[in-house]
Amino acid sequence: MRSFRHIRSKLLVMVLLTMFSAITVAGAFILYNDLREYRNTRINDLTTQIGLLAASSATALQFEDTAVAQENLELLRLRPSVRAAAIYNARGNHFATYTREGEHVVFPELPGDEGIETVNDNLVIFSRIVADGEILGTAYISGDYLIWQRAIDFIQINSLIALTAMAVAALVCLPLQASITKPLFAITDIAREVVNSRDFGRRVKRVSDDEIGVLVDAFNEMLNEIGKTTVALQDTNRQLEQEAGEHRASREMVMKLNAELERKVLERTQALQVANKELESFCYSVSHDLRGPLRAISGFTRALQEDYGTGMPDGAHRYFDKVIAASSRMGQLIEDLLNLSRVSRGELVRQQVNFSTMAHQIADDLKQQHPGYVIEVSIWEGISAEADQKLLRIVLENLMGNSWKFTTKQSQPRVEVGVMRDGQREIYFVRDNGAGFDMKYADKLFGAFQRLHGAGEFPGTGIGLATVQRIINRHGGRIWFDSTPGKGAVFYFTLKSDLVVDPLT
Amino acid sequence: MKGLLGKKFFLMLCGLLFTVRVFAQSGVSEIQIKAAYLLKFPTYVEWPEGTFNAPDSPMVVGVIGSDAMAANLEVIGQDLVVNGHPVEIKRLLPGDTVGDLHMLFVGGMTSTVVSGFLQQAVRRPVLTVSETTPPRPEDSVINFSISDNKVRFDVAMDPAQRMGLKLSSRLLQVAQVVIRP
Repeated sequence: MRSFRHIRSKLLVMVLLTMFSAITVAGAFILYNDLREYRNTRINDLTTQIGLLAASSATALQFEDTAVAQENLELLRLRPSVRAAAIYNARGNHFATYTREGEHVVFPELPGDEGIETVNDNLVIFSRIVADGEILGTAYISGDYLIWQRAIDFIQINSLIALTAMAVAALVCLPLQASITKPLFAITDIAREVVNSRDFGRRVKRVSDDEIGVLVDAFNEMLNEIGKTTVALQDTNRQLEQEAGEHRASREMVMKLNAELERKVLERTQALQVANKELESFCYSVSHDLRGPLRAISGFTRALQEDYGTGMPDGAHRYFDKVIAASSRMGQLIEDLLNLSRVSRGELVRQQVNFSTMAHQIADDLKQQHPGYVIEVSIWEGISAEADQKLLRIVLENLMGNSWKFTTKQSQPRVEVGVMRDGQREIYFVRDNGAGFDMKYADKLFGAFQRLHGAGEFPGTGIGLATVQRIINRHGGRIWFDSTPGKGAVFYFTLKSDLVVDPLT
Repeated sequence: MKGLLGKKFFLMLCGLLFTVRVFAQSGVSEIQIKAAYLLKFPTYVEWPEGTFNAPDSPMVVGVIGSDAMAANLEVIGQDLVVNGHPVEIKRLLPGDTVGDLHMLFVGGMTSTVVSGFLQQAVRRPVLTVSETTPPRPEDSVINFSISDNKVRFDVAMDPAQRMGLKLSSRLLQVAQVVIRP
């Protein structure tokens, strides 16, 4: 174990430190007092001494009897704490001196001012000797003043006392600690066991009637609660695990199904693609092959009319015209189908195309094709688009051609070609005020061969819009429309994928 | 006459020269020291009750046989108060009586006049001070002497006792010789 019985050492340290502080503080006070006493005693002692000296030396000074003065000083031998003494006469010369045995003292040359001074380890006093108002001389005394030594001695003794006291305190403390530590350890032991064994059935025995006793009760209560909660938690856990297992199972199944589906989709897509391709090829080759016979039909019919038509009745000519018209229509249909196929197969070459210029060209072509048809053409200038030039041309030819076709019944035909900007994308549009159509049948519009108006109303094969949609889709764009019967129609399309890849994400 | 004067004069001159030589170092003359000491003596002496009329009545110091001493005493004793008694210096002439003296200084060597004064003084409480060689312990309490080039004095207890004068032990301490009865 790391720190064995840490609390016990804490308690011990607490006791020892307290003792130490108490003794140190007490010691400090006592020391201060003692030193003060010592100082006062020494000062008083020496002051008295020098007073006596002064008094007894007055006569000797008066009558210049150095022998007597010296005798007086010699009496100081009885007071070993006096280190040296001297009498100066009125003129400031040495009159008599005394030095303690074994000492070497250098007396001050001249007597100093009256007063008490500490010099190294000595107390030095000067005192004027006066009689009848006349200064006879000065007394000088120097006595031991071993205050530092005294202080150090005291501190040493005090330290010894402190150590002894602390030792005794430690001995006394050790058994007394148990009253705190024993109940505490009872708790910690059980706590450790509970943590290791996860057995919440253990309880601590209450042995004391103090705060620790309260702690013991609280601890036991807590264990109780934990025990109950643990059981509940374990049940919940089991349940959750079960559910989790079930979820996992279903998730796995879902993933398996997903994979299945993906596979199937892939298969189907591939199959569809293959079928599509075959279909397109078929369409193409059939259309292509159909042209031959058709040319023959229209060619020979014409020849028939030209060569043998003079003798025929009018009815026959009508029939011929109808054949030619029908084969012409068929030819157009075949062309459109071929276009549709081509559109699906060719390569998409995207480049900057002057949209406005192209629209103008197409408008001119259409005007040439329908001479005398008055229609207001409004083309926005400066539009450019990133698209395949050939394919875009087909789109505009179709849409604008439709506008020409379906506005014939209006009094003031109008077609408008332009672009709207919606955030990042450009939405091109072709608008006319022609016949329009009911939005109800809108989903049929792009279906090939679907026509919402009878051939009698407006000419057309019905393939154009399917082609246009194919082209737009190949560019990654979208095409949609809006129309009100009698009020016209507007076709919107984009030439880029809506999914704008944000370079920042 | 001329011869006598000359001899005395010669002797006095020698004495003076002697004293001047002796005390040249300290810069103070023998007379000055003796005068100073003289006026210190009363501090250590207690006259019998009633000698002084009042606590502040003057202490009369008589001088005979030394004008120099008298002159010095007058200088030092000016404004001097001893134990509350102002000091008064009285020069005595051969015809005078001891009268109301408290202290008497007889200067110079013994002469009949001086002896007469001393005998008079002994019957009254007068502190007698002399400077004779040898000392006169029967009628002079204090006698100056020169020892080791220093002015010292002897104290004779007998005349003091007879006169009722009490002498402080401290004075006796510093005396060179104390002549006890």
